Amino acid sequence: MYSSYRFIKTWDDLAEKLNEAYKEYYEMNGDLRKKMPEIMGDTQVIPEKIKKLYEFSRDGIETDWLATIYPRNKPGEVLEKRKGTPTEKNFLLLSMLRDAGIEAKPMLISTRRNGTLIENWPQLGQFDRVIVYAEYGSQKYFMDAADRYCPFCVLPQNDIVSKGLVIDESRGKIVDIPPPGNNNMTEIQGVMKLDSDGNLEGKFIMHLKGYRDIAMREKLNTTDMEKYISELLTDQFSDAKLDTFEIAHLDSLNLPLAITLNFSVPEFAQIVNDNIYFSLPFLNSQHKNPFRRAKRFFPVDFNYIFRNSENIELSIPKEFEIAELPAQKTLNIKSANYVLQLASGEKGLSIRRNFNLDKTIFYPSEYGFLRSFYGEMVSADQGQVVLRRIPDAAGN
Amino acid sequence: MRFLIFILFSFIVLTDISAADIAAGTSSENTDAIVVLDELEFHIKNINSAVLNIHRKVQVLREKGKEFGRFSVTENRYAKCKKISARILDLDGKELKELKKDDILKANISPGNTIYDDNKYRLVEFAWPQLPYILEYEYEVEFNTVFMWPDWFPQEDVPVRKSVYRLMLDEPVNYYTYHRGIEISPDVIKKGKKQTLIWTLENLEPRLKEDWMPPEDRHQKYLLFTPAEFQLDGYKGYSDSWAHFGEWDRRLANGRYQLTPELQNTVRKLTADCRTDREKIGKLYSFLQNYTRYVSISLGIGGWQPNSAESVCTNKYGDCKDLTTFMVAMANFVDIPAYPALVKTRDKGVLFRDFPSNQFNHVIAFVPLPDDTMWLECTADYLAAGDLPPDDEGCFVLVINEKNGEIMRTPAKSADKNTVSSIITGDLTNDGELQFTGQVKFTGNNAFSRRAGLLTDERKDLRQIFSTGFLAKYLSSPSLQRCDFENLRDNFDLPLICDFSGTVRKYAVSSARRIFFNPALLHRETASDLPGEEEREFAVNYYFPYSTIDTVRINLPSGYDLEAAPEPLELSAPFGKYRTSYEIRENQLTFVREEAIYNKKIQPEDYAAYRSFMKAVIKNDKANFVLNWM
Repeated sequence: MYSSYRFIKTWDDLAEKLNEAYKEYYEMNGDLRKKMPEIMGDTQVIPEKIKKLYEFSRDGIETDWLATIYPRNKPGEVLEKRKGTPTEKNFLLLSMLRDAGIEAKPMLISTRRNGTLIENWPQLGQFDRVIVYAEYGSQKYFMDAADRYCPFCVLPQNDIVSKGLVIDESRGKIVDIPPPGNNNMTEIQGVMKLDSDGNLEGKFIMHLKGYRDIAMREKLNTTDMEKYISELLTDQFSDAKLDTFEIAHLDSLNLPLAITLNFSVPEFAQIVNDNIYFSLPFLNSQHKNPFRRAKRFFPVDFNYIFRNSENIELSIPKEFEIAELPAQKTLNIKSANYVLQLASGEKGLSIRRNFNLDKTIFYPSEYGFLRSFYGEMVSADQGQVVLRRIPDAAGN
Repeated sequence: MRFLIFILFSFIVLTDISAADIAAGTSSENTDAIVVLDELEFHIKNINSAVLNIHRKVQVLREKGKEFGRFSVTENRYAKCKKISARILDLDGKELKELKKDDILKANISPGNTIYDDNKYRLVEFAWPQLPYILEYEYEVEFNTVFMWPDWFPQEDVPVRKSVYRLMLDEPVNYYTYHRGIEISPDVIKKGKKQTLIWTLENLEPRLKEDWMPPEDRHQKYLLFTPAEFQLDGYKGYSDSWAHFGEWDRRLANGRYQLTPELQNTVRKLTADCRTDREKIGKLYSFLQNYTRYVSISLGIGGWQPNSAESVCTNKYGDCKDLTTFMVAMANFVDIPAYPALVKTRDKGVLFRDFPSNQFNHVIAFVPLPDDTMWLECTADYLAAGDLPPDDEGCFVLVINEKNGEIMRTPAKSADKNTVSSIITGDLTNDGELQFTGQVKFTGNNAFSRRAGLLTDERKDLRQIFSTGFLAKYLSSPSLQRCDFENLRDNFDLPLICDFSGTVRKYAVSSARRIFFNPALLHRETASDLPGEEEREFAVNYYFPYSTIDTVRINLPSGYDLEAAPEPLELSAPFGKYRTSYEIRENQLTFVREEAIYNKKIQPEDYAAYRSFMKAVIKNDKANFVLNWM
């Protein structure tokens, strides 16, 4: 007597098994077929069709954030319930894409929370999410309909990984996922005025793109909007009062989010005798070094590369002049740079701050540089401006 | 039969709010959702049988409003859920979705510190992807006791168009009510022995929320109920007086104060050399802290009835009432009278003393010694005998003594008992680095919470916990070379002391000619400590009164003069004080900062004075000292 067991040895073995399990979840029912023309409209352009089907799966179905790579409900049932796990929503998208004649396949990934995929270890347990891989012509599409704030072809932050396993019928293929674009940025323009009592008032206009935009959009939609925006301000200016605010494109995922804040900060500056002292009035500065440990054994992993820029135009009271400015600062380490520039003009001060990060992983051997880079940046951001009363203006 | 028809009819009338009515004039409101209808019906057949029906209709306007579709129904030995239904409608009243059986998740996860209980939960998360929409749900729960008589909280965090509480009595049942903000009388409908009482409120504004408001003010409108007579697992009780209610609680613990023979020997040995009862209680309390740990297993009436002292002896664990029973049993064994005291902890609000009822969530021990009374928090590992943590302080409690139930008040420590005092000496370099040595002492509640913070932190590295959790509040990335504690794991009646030394590399900001720094190293008030409201309806609530005094001596880098510094400030008010002073002698700056808040609550009538006090403190605390290169 003996039993014969066949173990999974290759990605193809795994794909064969999964393909069997997934087969019934590609099935379209009548209701779903009926829904397709309504979703796609009269477009005949394939990329446009893909986009519309993705947007319906993303917005038309409530997400049940259950982490499993197996759907429990078929696409028709998901449509009926208008609710599905990320995997179910993605199988709905898959089945619709396939029905529309588009080559689409499930792609298993190990999300950032789950860890890095080990390519030479064909194990199902490595994966925790199924996304959609589609091809049209030379164009490849990677889609996850789970997150309602992710525009077309932008994967949720937790899905930013480099590889996944595409289940192509009975073949399993490891496919590279291109890194997200370099458009993750926060651009801030500030125009403000300091008066001779040390009060500051002005306006910030903040433009966000990429993952910065997605994160902010989610916050604004799921928290008390006014409170959150007010906290953005008070995190930097503890006494600030948000006078009014406007948000543009909150409901249009394809347009960059723009937030305008009108604010005032009473007694922003410290006044002693004929001097006024104040710190640089940034909305997005670094207060503390996030890297507290002197040593590190594992890499630092920023999810994505980004660019932050902030330009401030500050008017100072006419009876004062600039006595001292913080030093200009340029910091450069491999793949990260920071620039602080200050220029005094007729009416006041122009301040420019740029912080760019061009790679996401910093290994322990680079940690010391990164920590010290942040330390220097914190120090530069805390720079103090000194104004002194112009003797004539004081009547002397 | 006519009665039944009437009830059904009235239900229909009350719920007949059309979707069109809901949509009209409401969707533009600045709110996440609007509760269009909130109905609670409690139908009492007799004191051992009642049915609760909940019916809610909510217009969901924003993503956050979808939370209204998340609700749960609790089931246990006394309550069984008989039905749940829900549907989603569009604003024209067209049904979009109906709740299916498999949309209801069943779970028996125990909450908080309870390791196991026999509660089961039916959880529903019911939403629709496109906003706005109308959510409507109903559920029914059957009770075999009226002990869990539901209360009415008609006000919510969003506007409520209509809230109804309907009480139906099949036979006369005596009950008591307690209310706040609800002055209405119910509509009463009588039919023979049967009676229906209906309370209705319409167009309710959302609950008023203020920063750091007292827990007892979180709800501003409520109607509480308690049955005059109730029964739970065969234990009959009465709510007509605290004595009667206490008598019920006392009966639950009858015969549960026996120690095992081994424990009797241990207790004898522990107390053999003690000269006073106070000393004996101290020994026994310390033994309790080391011998047992807090674990809550709550089954059926076990939510109210303690496990026996013998079982605590054997298992070495228990919840608050079990550990208190064990402590009381040990005290009684050495002939010291001791009693359990039922507590509504401070974070849950205050006890309504004129409303005898089940308002409690905790139990502590009360030991009335001839010279002084001792209160014992039996679940705390880092507390001296007789000391209480902030949540137990100043509470009206029900002591279950020979009189059955007696309301007493626990003591509360004043600001001068909850102190933090520090002396730090440092050297400042011209590139802004500060090397420092110092000592900080914590007493009272400050010592209690600091000990708990240090000893329960999963990181285990005391130096790191102290550095990041205390020193780093205003210092950027302090690096500690030394950090030694006294009285951390024992001697809880003595101050907790920490001696430390270290470096902050970027303490001061230096420019070409100047150095900017703030010598308030450990304590500052910032704008985030100031309540947002210009005027207050409710008091500002502090966790406990406190006082701090920090002395900082900084050796300044040579070649610099003091160019600017905040003026020394002294403020004194009925609710607190603040004082700063500084002097420079032989190039050493000595800076002293003192602050005290005397009361747990700052009353609304003092709020204007408090606000200007705090503003002055905040302004002073954020001001820099500026050194100028000579």
